[in-house]
Amino acid sequence: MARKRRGGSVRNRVQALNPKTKRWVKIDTKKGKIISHKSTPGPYKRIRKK
Amino acid sequence: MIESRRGRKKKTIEIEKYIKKCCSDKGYKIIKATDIKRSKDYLCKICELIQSVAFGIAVYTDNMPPDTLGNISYEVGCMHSLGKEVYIIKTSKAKVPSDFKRTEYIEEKKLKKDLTERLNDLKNQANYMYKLGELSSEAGDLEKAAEYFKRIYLIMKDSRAIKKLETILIKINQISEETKKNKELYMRLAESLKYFLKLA
Repeated sequence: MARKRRGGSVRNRVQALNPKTKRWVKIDTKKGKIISHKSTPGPYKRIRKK
Repeated sequence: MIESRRGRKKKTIEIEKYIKKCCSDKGYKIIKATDIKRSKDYLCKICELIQSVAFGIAVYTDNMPPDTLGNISYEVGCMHSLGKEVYIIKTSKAKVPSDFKRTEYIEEKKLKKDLTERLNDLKNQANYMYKLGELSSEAGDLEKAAEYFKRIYLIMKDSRAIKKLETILIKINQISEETKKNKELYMRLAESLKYFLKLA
């Protein structure tokens, strides 16, 4: 049986590259706040890029 | 620019010359607290200057007297608390406070290359701040958004930032008329924005 996968990108979240740390940050679009800073290189999966 | 008045040796003057050249190449004007004469308290003048600049450069040189070291560290702290970028330049033998031990310095030997690189990077940072500002504005956090756009304007003299600030001001005026909650806060924010836009 095929594995269930999430369809499409996560809502109310975007990601942007912080040029100072060279890491992607996750932002909550409802609150306009940074909620997470990626610790490894590369963008988050299934999060829309700003 | 933050720097001591005393002990201006040859090295300090040389560093200053390089800083002036790098900044003027990128279109930035150097402001030194000692060059501006006002009939105000000296500390007030420094605080006002810190608020009005895009970024700061602190210079630590050899054998710097403790009082000067204290002054510079205080000014660097002020800039950090306002979320402004500070570039620390130090000579090889200069002693800096232990709080800045993990900070990436610009060594005097690589001054020209490193400072130019950092100034180039400011544009990328401004673009990143623009994205954050837009998101904050969309989410309704107007105070934060205004802060981002002010900083972008100071760094790049970007007309987009001014347009955004004008839109924020209109929104704030609408909100302060409609709501009774936090009215004073909105009015204060509107006043500061009006003053900023007047000077821009």
